[in-house]
Amino acid sequence: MSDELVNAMADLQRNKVFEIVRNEIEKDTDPLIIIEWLSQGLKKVGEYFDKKEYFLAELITGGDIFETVYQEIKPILEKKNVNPQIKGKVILGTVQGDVHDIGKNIVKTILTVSGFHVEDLGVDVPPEKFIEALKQTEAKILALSALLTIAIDSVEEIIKLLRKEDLRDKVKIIVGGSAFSEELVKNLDVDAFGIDPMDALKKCQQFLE
Amino acid sequence: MPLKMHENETMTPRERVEACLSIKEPDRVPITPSFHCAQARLTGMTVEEFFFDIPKAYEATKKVWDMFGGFDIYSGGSPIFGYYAPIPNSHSMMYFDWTLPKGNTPEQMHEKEIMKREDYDLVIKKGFKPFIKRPEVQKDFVKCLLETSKLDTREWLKEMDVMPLAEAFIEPPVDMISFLRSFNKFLMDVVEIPDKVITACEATEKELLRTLDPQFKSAKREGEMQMCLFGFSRIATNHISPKKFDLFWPHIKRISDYIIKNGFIVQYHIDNDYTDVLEYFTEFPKGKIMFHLDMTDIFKAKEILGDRACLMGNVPPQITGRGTPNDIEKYCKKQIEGCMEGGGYMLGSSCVLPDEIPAENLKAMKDCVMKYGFYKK
Repeated sequence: MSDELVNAMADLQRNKVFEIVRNEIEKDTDPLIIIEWLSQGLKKVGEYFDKKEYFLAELITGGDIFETVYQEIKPILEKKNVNPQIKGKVILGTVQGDVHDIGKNIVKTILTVSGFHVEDLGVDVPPEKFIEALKQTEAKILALSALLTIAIDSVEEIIKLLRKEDLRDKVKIIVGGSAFSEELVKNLDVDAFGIDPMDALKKCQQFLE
Repeated sequence: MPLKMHENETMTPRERVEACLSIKEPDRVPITPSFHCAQARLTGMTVEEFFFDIPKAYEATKKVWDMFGGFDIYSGGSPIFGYYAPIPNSHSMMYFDWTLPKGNTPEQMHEKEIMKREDYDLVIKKGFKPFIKRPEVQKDFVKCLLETSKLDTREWLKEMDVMPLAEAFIEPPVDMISFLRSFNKFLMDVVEIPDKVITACEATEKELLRTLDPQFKSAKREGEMQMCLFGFSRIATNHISPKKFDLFWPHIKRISDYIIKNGFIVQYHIDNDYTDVLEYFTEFPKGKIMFHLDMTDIFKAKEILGDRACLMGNVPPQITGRGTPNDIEKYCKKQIEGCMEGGGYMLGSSCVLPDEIPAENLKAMKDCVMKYGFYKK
């Protein structure tokens, strides 16, 4: 059965994924095992994306199927008092001056379904709010999104504040969105640039190694 | 008197651009940056002021032309028009939630799921009309038209012999549907219910084509080359596979044919990356289409389409807005040298110039065509 679920997930067969998951729930299969199979399927989606067999459309669909089916499994996890292992905490947001959230939301989905706990601060987020969230959650990863090049000033402001609060060395910063380029981030004191959502995931996973 | 930017020039800006559109070598590569609100900061106004005050924006635009000695194409003053346009278009506030500029923060769309998946049948049956939220913007549009008609743009451009970047505008149904559905939901529809999406695109095609007729009628001037901006951003191959793009191609092709049939050159203002589907555009004859590229590889485009379509763009805002004059020279020199051969190439910005572009960067861009862009006789 596991292969069937892994493949249905990898092939983005939404209805089939739901059918199998519901059957497994009825059979009282360990929900953590169901999640593991779904994750394996999603991993394949990521591999197809890397090989350019899948594109952003398929990646988003995969993330959405996982997230939606997870909502069905969640009550069982809560009932059994088990929690999937959290790989790491991420503070995420679109920086001040920018209200674009498409890229941010895709990254949130991909990180969440890959086991990260993501605290999404939304859009047009003032620098102070990022610092406050980092202090409160003790997250070690800060993911900043921007589409407008003018919003890069906000990224610089956040970094300045992190230094002032003596937090810069304790936090890994990843940026993403159309405002950035590999060349441009060389001049910013950040740790990584996520070219696309899968690249952002890989870089966040590397931060934890 | 026609605008002259360098002593070695032998053509007026219009002749230069027209040569490029016809895939012939002009005297030098035209410099054709697309302004959004960069004129504001360059002349000491806020973006907000520039956006809402049409006469002041026009004066600021003229001032920028004076400051830099002019350009080869006119890309307009305040962009406010598009936001009040009473037509189905992603920029129109008649359908979408936009926050207009405040201070120097530019306008931004709040994209959300306006149309549900089950609404496809409604779109197929009734088009985009059921999604009109603010019909009252039409009044603002008329107000803008009246204010613009008082400007001496036509005379000013005629005197300099400069042509406008575009004189008619259209977006394909697929982009309109995508913005109504919101980005993620739309892409999931393309994966899960592609036939429905295509049917809706085809059903709304005529509604959008009808918006072109009055534009063509009021803009057309016999014997002049004129461009119609055909802009899209959502079916790029960094979003969907070339195989999925193929599904949308027929309606893109039909709209393009309609523009050509009406005597306009199709200006594909295509945001994001279309490198993997450039071959599709080889279906068009020489000189009937041109490209304003964003992330699409312009060198690859030259290779595939250089014999039939004029190319410009692909100079990203990270370079123009955040780079140094040296970065700009390095980037633009490479592009000029790789694309100028045989004509059909103009140096322009990806999409639009960032509003915060420093004066020295814009100057560096223009200096580049003067330094590296002259054709050998």
